[in-house]
Amino acid sequence: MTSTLERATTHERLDRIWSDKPGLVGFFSSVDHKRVGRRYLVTSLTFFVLGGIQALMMRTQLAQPELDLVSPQVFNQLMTMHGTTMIFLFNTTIWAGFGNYFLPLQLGTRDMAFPRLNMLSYWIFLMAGILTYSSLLVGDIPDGGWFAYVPFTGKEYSPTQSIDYWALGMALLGISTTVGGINFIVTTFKMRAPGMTVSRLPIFVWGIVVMSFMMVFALPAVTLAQVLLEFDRVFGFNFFDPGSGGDPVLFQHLFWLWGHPEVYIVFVPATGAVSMIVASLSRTPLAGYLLVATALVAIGFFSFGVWVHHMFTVGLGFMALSFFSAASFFVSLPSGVQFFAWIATLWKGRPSFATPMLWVLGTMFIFLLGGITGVMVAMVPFDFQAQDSYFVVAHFHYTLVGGSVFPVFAAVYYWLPKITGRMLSEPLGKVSFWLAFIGFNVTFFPLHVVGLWGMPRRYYTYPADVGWGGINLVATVGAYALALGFALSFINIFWSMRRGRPAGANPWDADTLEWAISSPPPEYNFLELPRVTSLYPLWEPEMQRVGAEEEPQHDRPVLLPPEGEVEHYTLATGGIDAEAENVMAMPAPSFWPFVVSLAVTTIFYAMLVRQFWVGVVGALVAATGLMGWYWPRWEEGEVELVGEELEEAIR
Amino acid sequence: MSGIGATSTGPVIHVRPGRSTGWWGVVFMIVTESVLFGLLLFTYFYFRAGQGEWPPAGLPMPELRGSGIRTVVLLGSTFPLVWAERSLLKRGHVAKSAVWLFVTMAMAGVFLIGHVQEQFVLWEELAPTETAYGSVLMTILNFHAAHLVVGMLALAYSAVHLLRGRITQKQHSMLEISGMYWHFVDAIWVFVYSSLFLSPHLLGR
Amino acid sequence: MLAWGVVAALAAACSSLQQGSLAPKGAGAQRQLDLFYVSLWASTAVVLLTLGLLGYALFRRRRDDDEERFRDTRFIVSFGVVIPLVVLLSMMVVTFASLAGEPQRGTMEVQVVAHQFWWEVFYPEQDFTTANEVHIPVGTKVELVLESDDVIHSFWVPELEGKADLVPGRTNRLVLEASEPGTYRGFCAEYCGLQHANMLFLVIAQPEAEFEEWAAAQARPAAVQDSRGEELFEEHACAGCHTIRGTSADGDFAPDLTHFASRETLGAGILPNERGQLAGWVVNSQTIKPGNEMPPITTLEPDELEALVDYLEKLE
Repeated sequence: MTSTLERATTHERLDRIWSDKPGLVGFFSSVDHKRVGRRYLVTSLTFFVLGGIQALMMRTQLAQPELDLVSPQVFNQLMTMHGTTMIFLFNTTIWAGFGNYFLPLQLGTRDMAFPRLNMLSYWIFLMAGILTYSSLLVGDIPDGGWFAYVPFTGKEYSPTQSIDYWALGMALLGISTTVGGINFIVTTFKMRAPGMTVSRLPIFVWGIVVMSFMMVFALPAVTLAQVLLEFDRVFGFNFFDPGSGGDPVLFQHLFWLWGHPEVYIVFVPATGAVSMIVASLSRTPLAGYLLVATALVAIGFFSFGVWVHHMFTVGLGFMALSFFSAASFFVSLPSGVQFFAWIATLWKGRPSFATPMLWVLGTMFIFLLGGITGVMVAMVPFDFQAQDSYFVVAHFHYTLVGGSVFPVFAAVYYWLPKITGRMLSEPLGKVSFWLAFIGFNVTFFPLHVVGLWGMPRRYYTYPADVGWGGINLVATVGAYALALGFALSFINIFWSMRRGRPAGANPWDADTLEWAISSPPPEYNFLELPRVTSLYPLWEPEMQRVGAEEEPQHDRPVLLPPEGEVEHYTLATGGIDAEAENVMAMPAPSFWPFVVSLAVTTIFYAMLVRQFWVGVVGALVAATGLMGWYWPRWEEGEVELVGEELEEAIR
Repeated sequence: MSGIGATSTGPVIHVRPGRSTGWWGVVFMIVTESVLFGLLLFTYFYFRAGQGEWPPAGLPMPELRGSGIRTVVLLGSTFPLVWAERSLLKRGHVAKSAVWLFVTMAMAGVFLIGHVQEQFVLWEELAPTETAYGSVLMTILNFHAAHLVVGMLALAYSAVHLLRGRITQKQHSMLEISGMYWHFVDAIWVFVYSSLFLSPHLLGR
Repeated sequence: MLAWGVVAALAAACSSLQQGSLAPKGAGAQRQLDLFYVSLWASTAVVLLTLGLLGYALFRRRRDDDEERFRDTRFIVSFGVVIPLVVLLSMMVVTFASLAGEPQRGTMEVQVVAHQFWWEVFYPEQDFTTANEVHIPVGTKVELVLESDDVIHSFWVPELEGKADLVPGRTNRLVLEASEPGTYRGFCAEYCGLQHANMLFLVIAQPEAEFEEWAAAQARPAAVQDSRGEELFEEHACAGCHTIRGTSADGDFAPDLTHFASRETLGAGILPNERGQLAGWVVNSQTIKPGNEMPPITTLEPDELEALVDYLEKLE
């Protein structure tokens, strides 16, 4: 390749190979990671809106004592669906969305390791959300709390199918999350750009990988809790029935064995994104990269040792209380390391106060307070008071909104221009930020106090004579301000897609590979697959050429199949140093992921309506689908030619 | 540098030996499934710790003879599988390899038949709808059996493609991966058997 | 900073509302509040230090040789590891000391059984049962034996002591000790279903003598001569669920009403025990507390209701 003209032809051919078919065919058969990522983001943000509306309805009901705007039944359903939506369907999946879109770009490759599984993850996520929300259609909405403690959620006390919608929907979602996690891990293991050693991994990739490992180890626990709950409910088993040798506390152990790591599952990728944004917008490398990466891994490990602190009041011995209290103190250490790495980065850099940075600073303030109250509730005797009161509600909204939601908005303002090719409005973004930031603190800070006064969680109303009305009214007003703040950002997103200023390849002058290519990225991501020699590829002079210039890049392979062939080639690498291992032909677009996800969902619906033969049919279709999916594509004797570029790559 | 443009069996060009993405994917699937089995056994011992007598009063001790024979058969099935892999990889004997695969599946079939027979007995004896002991035992055994069926399907699928010529000496990752999964299912049985069947006898009621 | 301002304003506005765990009236709550204040001051110091560093990092005047002079690893390790480690270790020591101080046993036992959505209270020494009201003598360590009849509940009296869950199949213990006489509101603090929010109770701490008097009165069977009342109680199926000791009513499904009129509240701490409220409750409690287990009594004629309420009001 020597001329601009040749580059243009290469672009055209790659573009043809990697583009999806137009229309519905493309829609249902696409396996493109960018499309998966976009769908995740859109679906996940939709659930965020739903969860937000539920929150507003609850806050309105609680604005004054003894209001009767919603019935107790509806309140309990709102409370359940708000928690379920925000934790399972929004906070976890939104980072899968950013991960799907940006992990391959940051690694400098053309897709995820398993593109079809990737699309399967998305379809199952969508269908799990629909399954759970379809309870609205029949009016039998889950009301057991997002934690669904037995025996309340058992057959005896919840005889309708409401709990089944929750348990089956979330168990189905578990498949999606697990498959997605494995995909991220293998992609990072096998598809880094040559030269991207472990110590050159972008910190967001570290976040996603740690998140994925945590998913692989933590998710079986909650899946098992849900499956055993369904066994008790559907088959009349006795896992959680104390009268028959079972134990309701077992459910709590299984739930929190996942539930606590889950807090970090959403937090770890969020901090990864924050670290990237802090460094980019301070125009300096992240301070203490190695410390931050170590901290992320440490969080991954330690988060598995603290689940019992959600159960301090369940009746434990002194030793268990002490151990889990001590562990809960020290799980905050790695977060402190990250926090001061951000401060150090701001210190040595020249921070810009663009909108993403504002959301990051908001994150830091809010998460700091959430972390502090987290240490407070680790003090067991105090936790006896705080547990299940509004103090805890305030605490974990500070950690989750600070640790995930504000970072989501930071990431939206930072990365959306790459996806849409257009910048979001700065003034609107700033107004949105300040409204949300003030609204959040006005909502949740007072709730600490009302919790200390004795207001328990999950109350659909409270007595008039206790004097909690004033503070609750303040919180409700704050909640509306918060919602308005978020709404402005949604308006900003829609506005920017039409009217935003064109972003160009690298609007933030950032350092990672996703900024080396045009915005939005080409279908095939990278024309020449990059080779990396630094932790900050785009800040190294030689790498600034990637994609940005017309010169040929002899040391970077294009991996173009011969004329007439449509194989999707990308490079497989391996080992600590990401050495080139082989050229992989990625799977072509396929309908199988959609078919299999439908079949799997059918199995879960069959459980729900207790029509087991439908489940058997679903299982047969799923098995057939998987066989079609993995049908070997190549013909024996086919000669493979991948052009001279490959030789360059391998050199 | 080996093999550019020279491989005639598939699109993958080996530059430096490394595991395929599929292999890694199944490794992590095995990891997450192991955690699941670990938690199921945790549940079993959790119940046990909460009860004075084990198995709970009125329920029989697990039977060792039939289950022992089945255990030997299942663990024995590892050998024909290893031979199936060897015949293909070392010598390129497709037919021999396929035969060993069928032997593996036949042994698994024997185990499964025994499992189903045992289920009829256990369902009566343990009344999973009345005792947590019965619930956890039936769940673990059937859960393992379901994995066994998946493993058999994967082996059968590999055998078909072996005979169709789509799995060859050079292009064998499907066989390798389903084989790895089979070893996993076997290994899990060691833990399941020693927990559910041996431990009550060894530790006493 | 704004949030702190808001809080300061709120705190000022609500200073008359020092309540709940912030106004402890018992040894346990006092110990827990002390711990909270220790952590509050430590936290405030940490937050101010951190925000100060953050503010300086953002707004300091920048110089050209900054990058060389700033040791980022040393900064992160000292502020992110060393200082937190010292703070956390000292908090841990304080916590363990406080935890070790939690009393394990009391000198007097009271059994509490939680139901959807009310509390059954049994005094084993005096052998009587009451509901939704726990009387304790001031200054005595009262050991509560906590059990649940259905789902998980949690027993919480913020002024006196932190929570303990009531879990089916388990027995938990909680030691209550009130330092001042008074009536303290208690809450169910574990989500237990439709009327979780209306599962309240009172803890009434009394001087020893007053308590003994109360207990002796409660232990006696009902001393009401009202055959019409008893009859109505039987006839309209009240007796199938409620017990009134000394009469033929011996249901064991709902609160014991032997000395119902001596209680301050109705419907598990949600209404004052007054005639009008009581009549409304008897006729159709479902409009007041939807989802509670007591069915509407549709068979009552107006004069029968009057008589029944008369009878209940006499159960001192």
